Amino acid sequence: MKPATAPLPEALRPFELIEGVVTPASLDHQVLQFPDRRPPRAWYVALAVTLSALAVGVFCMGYTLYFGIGAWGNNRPVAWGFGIINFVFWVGIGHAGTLISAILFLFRARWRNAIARFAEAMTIFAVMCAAIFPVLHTGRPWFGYWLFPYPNERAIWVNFRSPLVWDVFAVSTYFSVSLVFWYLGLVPDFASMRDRTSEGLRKRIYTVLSLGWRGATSHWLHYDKAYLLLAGLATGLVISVHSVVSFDFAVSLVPGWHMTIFPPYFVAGAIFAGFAMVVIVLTVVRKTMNLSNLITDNHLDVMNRLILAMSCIMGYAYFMEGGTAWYSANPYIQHTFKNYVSGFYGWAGITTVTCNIIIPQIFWFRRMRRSIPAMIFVALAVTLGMWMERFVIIVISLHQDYLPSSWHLYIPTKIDFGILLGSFGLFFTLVLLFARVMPVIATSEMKASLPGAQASHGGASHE
Amino acid sequence: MGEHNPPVKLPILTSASQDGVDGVSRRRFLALMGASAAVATGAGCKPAKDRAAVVPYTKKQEEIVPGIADYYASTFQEGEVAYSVLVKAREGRPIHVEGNDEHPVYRGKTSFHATADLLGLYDPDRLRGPVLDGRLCDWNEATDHLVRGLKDAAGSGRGILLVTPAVLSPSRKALLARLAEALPGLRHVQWEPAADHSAREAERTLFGEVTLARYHFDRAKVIVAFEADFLGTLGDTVSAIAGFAGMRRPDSPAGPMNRLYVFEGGMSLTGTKADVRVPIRPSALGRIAFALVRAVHLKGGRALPAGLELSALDAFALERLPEAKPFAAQLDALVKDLCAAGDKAMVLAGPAASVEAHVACHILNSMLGAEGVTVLGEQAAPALASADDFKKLVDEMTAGKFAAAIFWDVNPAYDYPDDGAWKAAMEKVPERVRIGLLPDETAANCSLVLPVNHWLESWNDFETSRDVLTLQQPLVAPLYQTLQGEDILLRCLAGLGRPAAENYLGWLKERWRSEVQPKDSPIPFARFWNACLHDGLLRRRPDPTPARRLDGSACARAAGQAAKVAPGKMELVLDVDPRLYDGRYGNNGWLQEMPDPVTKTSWGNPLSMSPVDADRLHLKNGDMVSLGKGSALPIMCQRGQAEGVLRLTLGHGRWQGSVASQVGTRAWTLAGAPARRVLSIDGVRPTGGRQELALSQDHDTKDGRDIARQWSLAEYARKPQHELEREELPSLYAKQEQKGPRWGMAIDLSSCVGCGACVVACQSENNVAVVGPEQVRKGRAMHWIRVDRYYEGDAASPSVVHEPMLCQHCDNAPCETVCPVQATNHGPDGINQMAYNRCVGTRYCANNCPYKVRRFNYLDFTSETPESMQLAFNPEVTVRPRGVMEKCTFCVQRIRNADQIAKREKRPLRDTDVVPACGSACPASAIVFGDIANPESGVSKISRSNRGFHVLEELGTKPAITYLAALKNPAGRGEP
Repeated sequence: MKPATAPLPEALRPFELIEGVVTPASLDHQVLQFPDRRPPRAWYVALAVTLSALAVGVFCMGYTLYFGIGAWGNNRPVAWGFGIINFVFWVGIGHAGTLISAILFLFRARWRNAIARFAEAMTIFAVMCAAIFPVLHTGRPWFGYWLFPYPNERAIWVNFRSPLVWDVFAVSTYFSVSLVFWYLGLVPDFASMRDRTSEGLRKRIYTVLSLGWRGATSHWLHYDKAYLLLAGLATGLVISVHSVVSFDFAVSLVPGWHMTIFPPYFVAGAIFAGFAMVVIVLTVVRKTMNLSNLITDNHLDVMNRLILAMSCIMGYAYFMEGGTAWYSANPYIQHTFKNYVSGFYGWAGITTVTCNIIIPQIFWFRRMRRSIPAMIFVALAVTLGMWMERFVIIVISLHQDYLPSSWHLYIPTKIDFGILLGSFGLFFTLVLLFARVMPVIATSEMKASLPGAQASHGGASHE
Repeated sequence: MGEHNPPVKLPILTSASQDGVDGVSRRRFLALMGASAAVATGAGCKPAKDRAAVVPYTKKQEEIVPGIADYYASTFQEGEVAYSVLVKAREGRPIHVEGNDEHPVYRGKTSFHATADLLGLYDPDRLRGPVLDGRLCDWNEATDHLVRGLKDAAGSGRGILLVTPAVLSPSRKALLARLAEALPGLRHVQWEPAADHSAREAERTLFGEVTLARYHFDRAKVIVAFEADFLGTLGDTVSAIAGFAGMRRPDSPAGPMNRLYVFEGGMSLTGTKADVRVPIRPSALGRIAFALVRAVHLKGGRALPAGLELSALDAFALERLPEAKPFAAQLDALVKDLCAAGDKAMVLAGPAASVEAHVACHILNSMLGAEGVTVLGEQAAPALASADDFKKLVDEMTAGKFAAAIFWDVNPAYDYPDDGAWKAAMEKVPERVRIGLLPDETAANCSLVLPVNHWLESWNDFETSRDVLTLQQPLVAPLYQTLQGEDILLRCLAGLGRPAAENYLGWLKERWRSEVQPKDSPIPFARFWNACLHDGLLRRRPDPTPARRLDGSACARAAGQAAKVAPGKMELVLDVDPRLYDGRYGNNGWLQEMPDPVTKTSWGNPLSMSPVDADRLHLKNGDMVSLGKGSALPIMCQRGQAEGVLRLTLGHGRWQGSVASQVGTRAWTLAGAPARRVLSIDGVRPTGGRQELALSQDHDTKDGRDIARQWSLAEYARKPQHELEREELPSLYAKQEQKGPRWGMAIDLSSCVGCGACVVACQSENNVAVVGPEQVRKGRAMHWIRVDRYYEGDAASPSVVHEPMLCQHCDNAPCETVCPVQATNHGPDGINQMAYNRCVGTRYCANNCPYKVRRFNYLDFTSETPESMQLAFNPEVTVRPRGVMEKCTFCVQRIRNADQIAKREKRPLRDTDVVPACGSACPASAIVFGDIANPESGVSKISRSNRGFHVLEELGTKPAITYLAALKNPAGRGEP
């Protein structure tokens, strides 16, 4: 018997993962009922909205493919605009899901079980949205496949020194690993769905998708090992993918881009933005799907603390950027940094700092962390702020660089905004469809958190 | 998805705000209105009988080897200047125009108008055949109609008016004389609205005759320009730039270097190169100039011309002139400089200066002994109609004095200032004939329109100085059913019963045989003729003419006139546009898109005003104002412009021509009277509207960045040795291996005057697309080389430096490392290569280029090129499709050509074998190209100058281009 230890302060105590009484059967029913039922009218209305946004985006993308990048606001010197901003933004959004699924799994943070599935789904969808842009923003997208290294009769390889090629590897790895990881976790739940449905097409689909899962011990052993391995792989990706994306900027010589702080700065920003998006979606999901006892206020509280922590890291990064500009005595960087907060685009820099650093500070207060309106407000601000930060980095740095003769403004066009809207439309359409047809919570993992599921260690319940 | 991409125009979502004000944004600039455009293959010199399908050469033409270029000498006339050119032809059609090395003055340089006018040959707007009363007809019918008209007019007793541009061709002059014999009522008027009529008037009063003055800038140590933009728009700018620049690049701070004083109201190109610039109203120039006359006489002891007494100059004491007060120091220094320079001085004035100012300039030149040394007037000028003459002519037309009028290559419907008077005059002339290239404003009002050959399809000779006679020969058979203007006259003569020759070539050759070939020439005429055609010219040794002598009483009269003070209102200066000249090039996309060398605007002409005036009226660039007459126009704040002075360029605001229409403001109508260049304006009134200027450079200053060095000679002398030496920065990169030549350039900013000839030449050589004003506004112009223009110092009198910026072909090129598909990489000869077919268009290279010289085809700028314009493409250079990045290649096609020729001749490639288009075109020879791996090459020697520097060297890009710091020579150094 271990000697009794003093009780932990409340903040450090593991919180209640589940509100109320939940049994495996009730859990199954609560989560797995949705694919069987007709969704409420609100779902259809929401889908109509997101599909309209997506339609606008598809039209604008078609317009771009037909007429060329000239349909956007890009010019000389701002050769990258909304296209790359959106790319970095969406790749960043995906990082929260992988962090929750993989890193928190390795850390044995059991609170992740309720949110991992949805977060990981959001990662997949965010990466899908992001993947459109590297191809769409090229001048000749029909040759986009040249970015992949494949043996060819001209004996030409890609330029392995180029960060854009590293992007190709990073994003494709990210997508494939995340997809496999997510699917692996879904297999037991597909099996549950298969067992719950009666004859029909749906049962056949679930049968195929569940890969013959019977819940045997050997299946669980293999599952655990595979899941652990993939979690390990995906963990590295959380750090590497957005670091590689940041190399697009850091490896260049553009003043304001060429900074070694970019990889950690971008990774922190990605986690930051991703968690904000997760919070927005989950607050809506748990309300509309009555999952508040599984995705509890405690879960949201913890996520908001993460958002706060990331916000502080972002604040440090912004401060370091300014500090670097100051002590470097490099007139080009100093000029760029001044442009971040003053000049034609100064409003973008101010918005970024306000939304990313100042507003999330309300999360120091517990009441704010547990207030739905407050957290939605902060999460929206963070989403806006993180998009605006990429705008600041890309557009402001490019529009006034070394030779003043080439300075020129970047004015985005309606097509630019249409594609941005379309990307949100795609993301939320996929989210809505996911919620409709797949289990949004990993029931198999949740069951491991139910009381009685774990072997007890004489009362002390650390884990 | 193939390469058949849709046009530039974005139909649904372009900004609507531009439509009302700038209709050009809706149009496709190279798009064709007409459909036909099928062009005969133009095989050599055979006439194109019909528009047959293209047939490959089953019987090879003697002159043409497909793939090998031929070069023919010819002549390009503009106004009173005739430039000797060398035209490159491929597969029987001209594709590039450069200068003729054989010419003793031009030595291989020519006006960029000649280079750009290649497009005039292929202009899809060109008339295809004669048009009578609105319908196409054949030449016989047209000629019959014309001859009948002439006969009727001759019979009616009324006059026949023939208006032509300046006649510089002795053969054409002889033919016109023959025509005058056949038609006694013929009145031939030579009309050049852009000519310097003040200068002509002054010469007439002073010397009794007008000459084509030749200015020897290479002999001048002190140059004084009164509103004389000799580097930009005044007459023969090519030899002016060459001569001037030759004295701007001393090898050491000790000199020798010339000194340029510029007195002007607006900022002209010459003003940007001034060592001492005095921003002053043009109306004050007459008095300043006479004050200088008086001061040079009193302080320098130079004798006044006979007949001009000191007492006549009493009103012009320098100390007492109110206009001179703010510039007392500069004027004193000028007087000293002039006196010290003596016959090495040169004083000249331009069209915006008054006649009196011109007179004073001649007096100064004469007093200093420069007349006959730096300024020579040997060749009689063509008898152009003066402004008064032309106005009287219009009155006579209105009075019904003419039964027929023929307008040959002139466009008075556009450039005559009084529209109402012109229309009324035209109505009173029953038979109106237009002989010209394009259906322009004048042609719209003529019943018979006869299309002529372009100069690239024509034969002629030109004489602008007594020692050189140049020839013009066609490079291609006429593309359409056109005739040379002289041939039309010959047909008229034949129809009038006075046949003179079968065709103009026959007339020309006969004249050369009988009058030009020296009587004692030992060779037969055929050989003589071919030799002259080969060289493009004939050199002669005329007897020297004595220096011109001034008429003293005329001087005194001018002094009296100059004393009158102009009213103190705002003054509007009208200048010929450096690109569009008098408007004749309005349909030329290259010239419309070329940025104005000073304002950097294209596709339009803003009203320049001083920043003080702009502040007072709370105006910024693009705001619209009204001058009280004509439509509203946008303004531009111009540093260095004198307060109270406005400036507007002529040549815009046409309404015929698919490219020329609706671009800019028609400044000719503001003049009020023909050839008037300075007007009094009550003021400008902001109208509240806005029109974004199509600027290719938004930011005008260097902001403390060391990117375009400019020193005064004194600073240069004081520079410590370590600042002038360049050492290699340490680098982690391995050095590039070097075998064979490494191509590089030296660009001397001191020689460069910023004229922009390099931009046009590069566009012609490398098939660079024209994008139109809307895309220029968005920052998507495609020029591979640009001239950056930076102001330094205070806005009231800034110092200006021009810096041609092109791909630096860096050894450590930042663009090469970031291209994901390796579309850009480094060749073994140091060239940064661009593989268009590999480029997917991620544009990372453009972001990573600190010089921002890479250009991206954001839209499809080329596949809609009209068929005739496609003939202008250089077949050695890819035409880039949408989505592909492009940039300067150091004219790699010329390098490879030279390489192959060297291989064929079994010798090593000499770096003097290759001259890129920009280097060839630069009249100042500021751009020198060659092998920088060879320490003995010309470019290496120049690059070693202690004025040399690399732009953005601290980034470690290791550019292959060395710039030489610009030098200025302001007063105060003692000896000039």
